[in-house]
Amino acid sequence: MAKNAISRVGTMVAFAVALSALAAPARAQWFDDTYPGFFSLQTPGLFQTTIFGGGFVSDKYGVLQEGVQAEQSVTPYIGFFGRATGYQLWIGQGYESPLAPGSGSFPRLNFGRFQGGADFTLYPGTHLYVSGGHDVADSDASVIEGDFSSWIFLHSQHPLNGSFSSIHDFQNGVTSTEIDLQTILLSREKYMILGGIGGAMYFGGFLTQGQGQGGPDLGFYYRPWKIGVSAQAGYGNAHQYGQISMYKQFSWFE
Amino acid sequence: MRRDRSHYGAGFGAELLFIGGLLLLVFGPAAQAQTVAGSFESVSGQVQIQRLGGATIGAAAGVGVNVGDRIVTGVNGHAVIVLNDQSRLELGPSSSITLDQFTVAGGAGSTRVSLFSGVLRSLVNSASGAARTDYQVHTPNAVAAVRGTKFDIAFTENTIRPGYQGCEQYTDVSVYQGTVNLSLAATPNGSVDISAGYESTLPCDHPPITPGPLAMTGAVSLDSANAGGGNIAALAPASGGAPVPACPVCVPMTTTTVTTPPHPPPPNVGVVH
Repeated sequence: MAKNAISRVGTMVAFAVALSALAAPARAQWFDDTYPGFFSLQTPGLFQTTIFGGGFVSDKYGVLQEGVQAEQSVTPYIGFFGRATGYQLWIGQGYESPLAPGSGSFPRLNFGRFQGGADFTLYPGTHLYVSGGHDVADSDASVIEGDFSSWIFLHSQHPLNGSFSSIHDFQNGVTSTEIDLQTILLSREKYMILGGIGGAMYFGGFLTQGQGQGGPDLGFYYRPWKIGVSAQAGYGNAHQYGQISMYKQFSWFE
Repeated sequence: MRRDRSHYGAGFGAELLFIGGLLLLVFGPAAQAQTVAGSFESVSGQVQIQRLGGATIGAAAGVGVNVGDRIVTGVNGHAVIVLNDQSRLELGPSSSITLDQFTVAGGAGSTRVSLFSGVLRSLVNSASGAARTDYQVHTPNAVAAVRGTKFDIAFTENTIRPGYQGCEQYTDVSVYQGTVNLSLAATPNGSVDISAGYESTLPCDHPPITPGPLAMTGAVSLDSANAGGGNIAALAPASGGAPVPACPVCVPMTTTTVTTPPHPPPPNVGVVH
């Protein structure tokens, strides 16, 4: 009985090894086709800088932010980036600081956030940014962030983009996640118009239960200037809100 | 006598025809080669003209372009040609074209260009009141036929692109104005119409891919070629580079990644005092 079992296991192992050996070249071929030049340096190298700014306003608070991000390609699929952002936060009368609950009420807080991390191109049109960083001035939080964005149906009139951006604040323990789903409504020689829906969710830390907000968004991208603007408005725990963000890109091949 | 005269006359006519035919054979191509189709408006970097007779000369602004000329640009070369019907051809780096045909008759024009490598931007003039212009660009594996439009066409080979397993030859067409019909060179079956604001790729001998928005699908255009430092081959992974996914493809992507760091604080900003 035991001998039979051992024999059966041996056969299965041999079968698995044989299958694996047969599949290995196919896997290697798939990898070569999907990620050509994976281990080679990107030539020419690409250095990109993005300046951005925007604002958020709701019944309870308002935020202005502005910053710059620089990214250097290493291989066709991996790059490193650094980001510096300045925030100005206005808090509605009678509300506590969200950065450090219990520390009192402040009409305005100013802080900067410095982050660094890597950009992984999982597939053309699909990126994963992973970064960590720290705040200075009125915030002293360490943060860790993951951003994922993927375009599908690129070969169609209306490609679809799904993205989420999640950041954890170690000071207040809150994890904030923004989710967005948008499509290219119109593409022309000089511009694109995008539309979709988006929102944010907040969990953990001093929040006793998850909170969130959401609404439709609209985007515009002007190709010759590499400038984009997107706006979103909706409703949630912060009541009515609206936000706008703008960015401009610069690229240099090395 | 009359008969003789008649005989003489017929023989003379045949000789004339023969000599005429001979002259046409000998000088016909030369005469065609000397058909001036336009001239260079601007030239930068290394740009050469290979005349039909075999002579190679350097291009410069004002130099004429003849039917049959082959025009080749170096890795940093760039040239703008204005044809006699006011159509513009803008040649990117590392590119090679031949002006195969250029005729204007009765207000109707017919132009045929062959693109062997690199990228070519065409701004086809559809002059008001004139008959429609028949304009075609041929690559080794595709034909782009247009009427009154502005578009880029690029031909790349010996490269591998993600998602196109087993193929190393691509014709990319990016359309800015008007419409372009892209089809296989071997057969017109399975062609697609590409409208303004969209681009398509024809890989190897497969039908063209359904068009997608400009600068989103990884298609090579004049702008991406120029951005790559004039080396189109460098944009392709097989030659040690990358398809530069970050450049064209992530542009709208940054709308939701780079520009969403604000992460406004949670809405429940504490307790009302």
